[in-house]
Amino acid sequence: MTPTRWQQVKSILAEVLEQPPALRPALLDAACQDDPDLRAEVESLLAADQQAGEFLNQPALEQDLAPGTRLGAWRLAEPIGRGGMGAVYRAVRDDDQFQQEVAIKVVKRGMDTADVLDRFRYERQILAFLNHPYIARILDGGAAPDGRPYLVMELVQGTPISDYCEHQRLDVPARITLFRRVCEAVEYAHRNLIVHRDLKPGNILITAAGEPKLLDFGIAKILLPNLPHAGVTQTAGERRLTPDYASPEQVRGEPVTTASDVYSLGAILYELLTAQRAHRFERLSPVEIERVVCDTGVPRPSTVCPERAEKLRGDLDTILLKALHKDAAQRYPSVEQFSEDLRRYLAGLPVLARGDTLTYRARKFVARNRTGVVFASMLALALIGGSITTAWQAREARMERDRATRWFQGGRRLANAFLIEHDALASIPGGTGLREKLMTDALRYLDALAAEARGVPGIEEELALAYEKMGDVQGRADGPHLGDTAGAIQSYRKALALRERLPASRGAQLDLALTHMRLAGALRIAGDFHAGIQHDLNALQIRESLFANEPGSLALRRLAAASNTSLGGSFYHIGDLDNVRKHRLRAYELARPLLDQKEPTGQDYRIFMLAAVRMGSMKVRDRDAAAGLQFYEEALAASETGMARFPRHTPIRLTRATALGARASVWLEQGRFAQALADGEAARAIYQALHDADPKDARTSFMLANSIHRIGVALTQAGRPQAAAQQLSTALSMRESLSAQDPVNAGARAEVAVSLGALGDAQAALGQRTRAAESYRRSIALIEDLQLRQQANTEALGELQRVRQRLAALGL
Amino acid sequence: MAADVTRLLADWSQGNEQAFDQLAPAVYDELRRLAARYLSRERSNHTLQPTALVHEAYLRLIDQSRVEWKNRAHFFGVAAQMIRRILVDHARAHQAAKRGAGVAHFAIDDNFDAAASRDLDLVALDDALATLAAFDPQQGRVIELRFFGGLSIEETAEVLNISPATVKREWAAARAWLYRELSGAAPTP
Repeated sequence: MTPTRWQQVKSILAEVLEQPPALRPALLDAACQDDPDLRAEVESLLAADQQAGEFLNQPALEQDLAPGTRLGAWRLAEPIGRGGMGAVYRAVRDDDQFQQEVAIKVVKRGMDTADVLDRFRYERQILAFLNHPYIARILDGGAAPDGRPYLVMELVQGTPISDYCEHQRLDVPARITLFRRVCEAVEYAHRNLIVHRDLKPGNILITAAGEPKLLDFGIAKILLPNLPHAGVTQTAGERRLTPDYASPEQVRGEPVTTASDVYSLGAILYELLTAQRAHRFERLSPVEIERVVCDTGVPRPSTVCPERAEKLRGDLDTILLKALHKDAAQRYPSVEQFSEDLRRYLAGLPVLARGDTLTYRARKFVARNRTGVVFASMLALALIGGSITTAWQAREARMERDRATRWFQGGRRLANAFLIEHDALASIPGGTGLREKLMTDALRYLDALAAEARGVPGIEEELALAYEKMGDVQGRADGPHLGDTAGAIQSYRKALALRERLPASRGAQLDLALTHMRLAGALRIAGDFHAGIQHDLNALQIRESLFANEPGSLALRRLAAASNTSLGGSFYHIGDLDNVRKHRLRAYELARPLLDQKEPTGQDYRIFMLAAVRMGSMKVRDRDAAAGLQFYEEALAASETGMARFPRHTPIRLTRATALGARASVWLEQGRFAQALADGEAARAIYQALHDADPKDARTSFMLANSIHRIGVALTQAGRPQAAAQQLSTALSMRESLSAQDPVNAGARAEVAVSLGALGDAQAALGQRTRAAESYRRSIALIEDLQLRQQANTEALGELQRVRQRLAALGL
Repeated sequence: MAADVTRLLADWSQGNEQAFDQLAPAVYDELRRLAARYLSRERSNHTLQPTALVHEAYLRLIDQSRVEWKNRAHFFGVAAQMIRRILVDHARAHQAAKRGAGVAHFAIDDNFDAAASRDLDLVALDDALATLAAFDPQQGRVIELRFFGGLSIEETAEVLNISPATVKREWAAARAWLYRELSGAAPTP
């Protein structure tokens, strides 16, 4: 093999491996057109890749941590287990206050630390809700001194459920009864929007008291997030789920829902009742696993277990095969219904696992339309299909009340499943458009549910969360969104109304503050500054008073800082500078100590940077440019450390771009054009990269347009009007189309006006006086219109005055 | 001693090549010493228990409070090459002693144990890796760092000064090539 030839081979190989298997032949055709040898070489390597399994994936020397190693507040004792994701140790709390014993899972080398920790931080808020006697709690997490992430969990002493059933020689009804208690825990987690994703006997321990304890809830999502194509996961060797209990959709690397847990539970019960696994694998290569799990039928339980054949034949065969259906839409729509059918079996009632014409139709529809990532939106249809079936079954049973309950639960399930999918999609670049499709359906159900929900325990909290997430997708001020501000305000108001009725626990208070903040952000975008400030103040008051009670809490410090930063922005919009100074200083003071910690989080960097940039802008505004620059430098320095530690943390990059833009305007004011342009370009590059990754995300589009606008302004001032006019026209047309997409967004219209004003300046400098006058007039008309609606912010009003003077100066 | 290595490591990761010349012998000696101890304790079935070999060397050599993960990555970057040499020498000695019958085994844990814990012939891997490195030195390094050094994708990217995406691609291609080479299914190139 010559180096040149190998370069050719490996570049084609890399490209092909990144595609799902179905697209590979076409790509090979194109890449190796008239070179059969080349094609044979690439195909042979592809085959090797498919067969390689776990080859080399485990490092030659796996490094155990020594007993006595300290991780955060914990000191490691001996290793107690080893799994696909790393080793588990027993550990004790390393202060004399408690004698708490825990299990610590130290993730093995080779899994990307920053990503795992980011996902953990995101998930832990959700996992904190999980409070069930059968579920082992996640207590803490962090990074070991050698950089490996670790998770701290409740230590459970018990026997895997399969061994327990054998040792205790439980009969079939006793096994089913025990299994139904496991279902109860999974059901509880599903109601809290958490899918286990890796259920297996080893994760279900039975304690000495005979109680089940489920381990690792939500862990799979942190350690093994979904990737869009199975091909990618295979080559990176990242797919380490237990194939014995994994559903076909998991094996294919498709989005995972509650239906996947139904499947895994089915596989576990199969094993408990027959002492056989549902699947047999000859080899454990990805190809073989996919073939068996996705295409090979599961033998009827009664045929594999002669000694229990009689008991299993009939209902249990039917129930298990329904839970283990290859097609998620044909399984039990929820764990609850799976468990209910088992109850009916135990009670001698007829089981419901039959007759599913409507589901079948939904399945056909999904099969016809399944292409690529569009699968995700089809999933919503499949779920709706599921709830129709529920209603239909109920009618069959002729029980009115039953029907109401089932319809209700069906819708609730849909909404929950939607939320789970919603999060999965949020992390896929380009996912914003799909989320919108899912949302339209889910919103309809939510509104119907809200009308019937009164008095149903737990439902109001769930609904509030659902509305809040909906608002986020529609138009969250500081996250990826669809630019539908009016819709977001509506959803946030619904969430707020529900939350205000909930009892005032600490957690509920924090949720309430968050909803206030989100609503404030959306109102600010819509130009309703005074209403926004009121909600910001409500949020601040809640957070500051919680922080005053717990001054050592980093979480509350972060929240209070974020609230103050946000409030500073709101007061700035209405020109109340005294209040701006007050809240920005407070935010900065709160944020500073966050970076003095030993291991600040990505969020800490972002909070501090934002506070510093805002302080800087205030100083600049107060005519103290030197002090302003110092704050910008602080923010930029923090961004460098932050980016090195969290290379994939988007908010740090965004805030760095903000700081660069802010510094550029100071340089500009001081006539240091080269520096201003360099900073401006650096900021633009950051936005451009993020915009390219998700072109439907309106937020990065706004920021990209802003950065181009600022470059244009700098060029005008630097005496390069030709180049300036080009940039400013680009920014103007971007801003115009953004404003057209979101007509309620007053800020977007003000930006169009500002763009027109700046373009006028460049045109005037080029001597194009008629064109300049035209741009100025359009700008004036837009701002006057905003003024009439009382939606013009201080910046727009300042611009109005300036543009009027410029127009007059043209002397036309 | 610890402070020295820490400083050398920092210098080296900043691009000072001379620091490497001073660093390498210190790391190598420590690794050899530790390896001798671990390998002599090896059980009769030749299973090299997961060892704290490198980690221990690292703990001894590095002042932990003063290094960040990047320097740690560079340390393992240096160590990877040496671990490879130590392990392969050890495997070769075993093979000679047992007239080629014995190879070092590595138990691969967990869920995949049935199929995935295939024996790995380290001597053959070392030869194949040398062949690979002859026409693609970067891929050779990626395998060395990830497999022998135990580095993550991010860390490998840091040491080689390439993007994590490139590391993933290089890893996938090299792994496929090596697998084909070792499974004897290679067509004549």
